[in-house]
Formats: sequence, structure tokens, C-alpha cells
Amino acid sequence: MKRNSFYLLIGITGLVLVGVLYLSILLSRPLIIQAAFLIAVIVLYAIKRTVAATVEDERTNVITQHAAVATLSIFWVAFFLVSLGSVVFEFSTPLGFHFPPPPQYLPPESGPHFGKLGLMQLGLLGLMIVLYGGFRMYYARKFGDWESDEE
Amino acid sequence: MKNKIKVHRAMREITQEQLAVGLGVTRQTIIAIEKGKYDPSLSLAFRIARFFNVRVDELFLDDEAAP
Repeated sequence: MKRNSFYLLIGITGLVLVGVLYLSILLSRPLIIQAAFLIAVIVLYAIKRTVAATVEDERTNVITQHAAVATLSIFWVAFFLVSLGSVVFEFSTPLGFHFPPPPQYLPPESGPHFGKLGLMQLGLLGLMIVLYGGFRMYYARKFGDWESDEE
Repeated sequence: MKNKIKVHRAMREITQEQLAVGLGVTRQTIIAIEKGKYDPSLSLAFRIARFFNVRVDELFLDDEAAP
């Protein structure tokens, strides 16, 4: 597969996943989007190995490593902050710890409100990807990605 | 780290693309090494030296070494 076709496939997969997310919300079944997302990622990774003209060598690996470490060194703090905040909400009740009630059907409006936490995490993930892209460009430039030569 | 890859390439009339293909790296990596933007790993340095049939210390010069 050509590289541009692969990028096009990523875009189409993203759109399909948005549709699956909508369906998942309509049916109140989180497993649908979770399974679809996992399958999509596995399939895309498998297809990526067949993409022609994808040349990776030690320099591109070094760029990726530097960008990943720089991103992680910032976002582990952000994720820790969000998680600590949600732990406080979870345990700031009388005596703190409670055994979960037996499973029963709950109408959506009275169910557990994890949605805001999920949205916040999605936002953080989006920011993380943007920051990773920025770091990647920075290190790519540092390690000579856009250097030209007379040849 | 300075290096003499460009000189050895010129002596043998080898293009960056040919060297890159011979070493299994991208041409951009060869450009980055020649311009001193990227220091290759020991493994790649030895492969480059082997490619030109010279010793590694003939190809790479330590910046901090006394003149």
C-alpha cells in the first residue's frame, strides 16, 4: 500500500469510529466503541507494516524516542492530577470506602457519571498527541530532518 | 562530532543515496551525519567505516580532542 493511501485509510477509519461512537452512545453499550477502537488500531498497525517507502532507521527511532519521553515527562503529571482529583471525589463520602451495590439496571440519567472524567481524559489525550507532534518536529529538526544538500 | 564521510564519498564518487541504500538508512540520515546534526551509533559508524574500507577513527573526529 502507498503511504498516502494509508493516511487516507486512517482518516476514513477515524470517521467510521466517530459513527461507531455515536452508535455506542445510542445503545448505551461502551463495549462496542472499545472493541471497534481496539480492532481498528490492531488492523492499522498491521497495515502500516505493508506501507511502501516507509523507511525507518536509527535516527528516526532516536527522534521518536526523544519525542515520546518528552511528551510522557509532561503528561504523566497531567494524568496523575486528573486521577488524584477523581480519587478525591470517589472517597470524599462518609467513611470513604463502600462496597459496590449488587448489579441492577440503572437508567442512564442515574448511572455513574464517569463521562466528564472520560471527556477530560480524551481532551488530555488530544493535547498529548498535539504535543507529541510538536516535540517530534522539534527533534526531527534538531537531528537534521529538514537539512538539504547540494546533491 | 566531525567526520570525513563527504570526503570519502567524493573520493569514491558515491552519492548520498547510494551510501544510504548500501547502509540501509535514509538519505536524510546521511545528510544529517555529514552535517554533524546527528552522531551515528557505534554500529552504524562501524558499518560506514566498513563501507569505505577505512578505520572508524579515520572517519570520525572527536570535537573535544586536543588539536
